[in-house]
Amino acid sequence: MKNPMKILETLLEGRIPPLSDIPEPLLDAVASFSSMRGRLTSLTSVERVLTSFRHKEPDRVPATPVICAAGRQIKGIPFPEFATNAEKSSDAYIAGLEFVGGDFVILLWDLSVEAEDFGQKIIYPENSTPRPDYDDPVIKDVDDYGKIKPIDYSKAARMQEFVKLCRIMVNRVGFRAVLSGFVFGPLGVLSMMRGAEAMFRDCVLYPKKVIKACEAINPTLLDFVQAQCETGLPAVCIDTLYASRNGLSKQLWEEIEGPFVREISQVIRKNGLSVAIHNCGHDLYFDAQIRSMEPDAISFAHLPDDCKTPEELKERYGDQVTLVGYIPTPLLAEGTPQQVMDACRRQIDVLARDGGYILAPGCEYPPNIPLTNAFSIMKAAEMYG
Amino acid sequence: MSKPKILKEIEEVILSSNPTRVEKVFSKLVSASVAPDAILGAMTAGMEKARRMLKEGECSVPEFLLCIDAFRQGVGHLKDTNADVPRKEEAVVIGVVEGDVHDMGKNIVAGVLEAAGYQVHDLGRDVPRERFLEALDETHASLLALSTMMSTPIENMRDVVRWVRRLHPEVKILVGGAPLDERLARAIGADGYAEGAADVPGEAERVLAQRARPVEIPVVAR
Repeated sequence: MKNPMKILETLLEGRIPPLSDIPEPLLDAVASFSSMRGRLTSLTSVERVLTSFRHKEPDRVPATPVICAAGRQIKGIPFPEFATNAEKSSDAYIAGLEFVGGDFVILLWDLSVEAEDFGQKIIYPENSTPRPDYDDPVIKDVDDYGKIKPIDYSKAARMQEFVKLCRIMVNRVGFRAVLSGFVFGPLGVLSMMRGAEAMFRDCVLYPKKVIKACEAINPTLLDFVQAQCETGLPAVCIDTLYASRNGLSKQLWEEIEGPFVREISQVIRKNGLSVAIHNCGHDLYFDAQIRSMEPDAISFAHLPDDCKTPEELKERYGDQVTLVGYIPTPLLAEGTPQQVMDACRRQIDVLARDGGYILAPGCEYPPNIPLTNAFSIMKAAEMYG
Repeated sequence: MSKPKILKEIEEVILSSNPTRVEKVFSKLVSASVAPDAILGAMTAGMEKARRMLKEGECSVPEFLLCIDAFRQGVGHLKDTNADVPRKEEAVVIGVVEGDVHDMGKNIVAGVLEAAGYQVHDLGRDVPRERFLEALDETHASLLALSTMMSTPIENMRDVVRWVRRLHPEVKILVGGAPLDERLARAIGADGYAEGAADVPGEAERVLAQRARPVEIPVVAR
């Protein structure tokens, strides 16, 4: 054990200690004990998630409705405030957690946080997700990639505010749920400053220029992630949207973004935190992302490119990572609670065996739809999990 | 260079991901005595191959974007030579609904539809309902293609569908984008849904064929 006193102190402060500070055999023993105990009684959310992360079956499948901006509906918080004000945002998250429930909470504002601090103008609609002003991108021309410079993290106002949210949430949530931070990978950040379409062309035609821009962005992202780790979060999630057939080819992704997200994952791991990936693209590259980041968990919306069925997914990757997903967004938007619960049941039946699974939507719970189907997910976990 | 060789080169260059080579090949066409419809045919064959490769995962989105660029470059050259570029009669109005600015998917679909011979009227992104309705008035399009990549504008999409149904009942509506699937597309009242750009021409043909079909009057038992 690296520092038993530090672990004890963290526990006494009401926070989850970094898992890598605890020896693997002890974690396995705790998970096995929780798994046994779960047959007799209810586990806490933290026990449930950690047991599943160690690929043991908890009392029931851990679940999260991934309520992020949707939580602002409960408190009547406007979108711009949710996405820029840590205090208000934490109120929305806590409301979501207390109103609907969940064993795992992913802290996510939107994908424009990092890009805004790199100078991208962001539009804040009153009732929708903030987005870049693509009429005025920072990178207007392929030569502008060379003009991107690392920014001083201490002056990165929006990233700092997001870290403040992480800190507040660690204190407010305590042992009630497992929290995860969030960072958009460097290609994602660039796409916010260039537009995805132009950036895609540039990746094929001028890969060196894109890589140079990633080199400029990544040090700031590493500082951002380090700051998130220092808040006491147990996990940080890296969004690698373009590691899918909606994005680059596998080879090109590994060449361009792979090395940079590897650095990000190494910072997370060095701090003793769990590495999670979120990728809601079609036919995502589980294999390439596992090679690059060695994640503990992957949150996904569609099957990976090398699996045709969820059974195949469980068989191929079930013992390597914890699978987080993958209730479809359209079903949440338009399906009846029964239809959502049926979909949950089908996924639980296939993916929950031997742990290593968290029932969740494939992406953030749609911010503006009623929360009914968020309850359906939690109900399904209780009934069928 | 013989005519079949030129046409083969055109077909191949569409898939080359090399804008310089594309420019070189199409520049030569000014002096070549090849009929515009044959050139367009070769370009379309190249696009069709690219579309199949995209569907099979053999071609990535960035490469496909470059295929569309090459196709458009070719059409531009044909127009420069004052050639009459043969097109289908059907026009399509396409746009990203209000509330969303992610237009890459829409741009790809517009390119695919152009390559399939449709007259495409691209309204861009963050398009209000009124603009879609005006465009349908102006163009007499038979197909409306709507896109969104976010869940928040789905209500706006539903609203456009509702108004088009009311004011242009003859127009068929296709929808696509990350937060949609076939079921949701049906629920908001669309005629068709395409999961990826590669499926769009087939789905467009399917819904337009329904348009041509006479309305079946249900027999009511008395």
